[in-house]
Amino acid sequence: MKMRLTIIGLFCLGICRAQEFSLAPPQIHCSSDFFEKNTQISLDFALEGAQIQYSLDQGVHWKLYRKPILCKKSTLIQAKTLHPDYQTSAIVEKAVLRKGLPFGFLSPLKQAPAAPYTGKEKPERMLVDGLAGSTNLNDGRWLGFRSNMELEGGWIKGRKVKAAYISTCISRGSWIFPPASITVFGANGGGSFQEIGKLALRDQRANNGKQVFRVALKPGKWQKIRISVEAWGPLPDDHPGKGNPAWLFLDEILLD
Amino acid sequence: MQRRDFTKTIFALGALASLQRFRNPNDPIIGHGDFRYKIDTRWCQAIPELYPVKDCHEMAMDRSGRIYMSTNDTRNNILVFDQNGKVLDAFGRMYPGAHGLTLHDENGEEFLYLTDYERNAVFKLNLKGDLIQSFHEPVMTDLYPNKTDFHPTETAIAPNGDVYIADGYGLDYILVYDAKGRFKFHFGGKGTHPGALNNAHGVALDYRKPDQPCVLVSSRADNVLKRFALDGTFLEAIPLPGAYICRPVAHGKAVYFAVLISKLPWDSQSGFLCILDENNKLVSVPGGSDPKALEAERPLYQTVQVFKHPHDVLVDADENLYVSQWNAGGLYPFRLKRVL
Repeated sequence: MKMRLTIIGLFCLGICRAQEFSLAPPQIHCSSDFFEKNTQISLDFALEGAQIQYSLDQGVHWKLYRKPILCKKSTLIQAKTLHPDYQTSAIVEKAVLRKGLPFGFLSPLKQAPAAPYTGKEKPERMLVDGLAGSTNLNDGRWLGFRSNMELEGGWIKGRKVKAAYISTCISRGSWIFPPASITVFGANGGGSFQEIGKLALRDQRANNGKQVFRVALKPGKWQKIRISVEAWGPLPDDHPGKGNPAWLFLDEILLD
Repeated sequence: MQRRDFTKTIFALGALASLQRFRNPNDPIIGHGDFRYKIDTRWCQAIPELYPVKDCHEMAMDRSGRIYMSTNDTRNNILVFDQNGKVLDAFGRMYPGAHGLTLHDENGEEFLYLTDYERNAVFKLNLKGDLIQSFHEPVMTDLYPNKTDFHPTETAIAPNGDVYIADGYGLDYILVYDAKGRFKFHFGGKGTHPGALNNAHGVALDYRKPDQPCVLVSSRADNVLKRFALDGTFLEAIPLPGAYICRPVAHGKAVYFAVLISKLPWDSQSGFLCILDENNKLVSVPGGSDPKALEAERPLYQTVQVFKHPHDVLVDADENLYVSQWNAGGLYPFRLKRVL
């Protein structure tokens, strides 16, 4: 009898505590996605009784958010909301990137962006201009491709490069998919390009929204860098636009 | 525990589990100030196999309390519910772009005005679904050189029978016809002038101040609600940053509307509801951020993921809300019971 009451009691508690709805993630604000010396990140969530937690080390440690966070180096912040009446939110993340190594020279893109997302200036320049696209995909800062994109540039004297950051937008419902892969090549003098970093993304489920992908590079000094972003290709069978080519949206590429 | 006890326990757990549907005391309440609601996601009793839906667009209630809902599923473009969510009727198979739904009493008989953005027309139906009249793009004007530019999303009917049609997926005009379907005049349209509209998705007539009737129009992509005189003269813009407003609904002293999303892209599942008071001040945001945040000039955003893409709000006599949703995986409408 006692055991039965215990089981029923625990079950009742479970029902009473059942939380049908999840919280939305917090709002992350910063003055610019790309900064020169430092930038400040603030988090916001206007729901009574909710708290915000954030992590700067990819979820290893979580802190209660109390005041804006000053960032002096490229930072990936993750944040979530909590409330006793609701399920904890999904984790939202945002990368703020310190402006990196500027290219000494740039080659024209081999494959031009597709209308109407062709931008207002030369596309290869727009990809390294330090200006972020907004949530409005028609703001003129996003370039849309329906095939692979290849950016090539370099310096007369070789430079050390540790990582490449590729800033994209994903909106599957709008036919905008993540890159299938990102490959970075390096070359010196008249030599041929060799692969120095690769990120395969086809099997990863990147969230919709603005996403920055980091590609770690083999240590080395290079005079030329080629960044090859592979578009997703045909939309999958379970997509309303199946068979049509997915869009690839890029607003910035940074080298660290 | 003996087998008999175990069986009893299982029965008891089953009974408790069935109470889950009715668990009320601990359900969260959404909204602010005087406009707070308990959420009933299981209000609708429709069976998907019998009454399939794609997007659930809009809702209207007749004077007997029956609720009509439009969906672009051509197996049943209009579903009719009682206030307990039971399906009473289903009709309509010819409206692939069934969208805006407005009910109007004309000399004692009620009619539905259904917009179809795919068929480039507005259809007036009786409550059994029979086609009575249709409205098309205005001819004899240079407004629509191309017929297929007309993609109506909403209607509002004036007491004199004038029909205000929002071409929200087309050229963003508000087109005004008389009751016989003769084109009278237009206003709005794309552009940058104060009365311009950008995705004029919803239109409503606002008689909350009977001596100052006006037309409310959502300029959805601008996150603005605009007021016009009945003759189309621009009166006022009410900016609501973060609110992609579907259609305004004037009820009592308030204006209610569903906010499809609060940020792009269009499938961001970031919607909520808004309620303005008699002075058109934002007073409650069920499912969204505190209205005070807007006073601090921060855009509105979703806080609780109650809705995916809310598309319309119906308000009943007790000021409970019924919410239909676009692109929500075939979800039927929710009911929000007002908490006093």
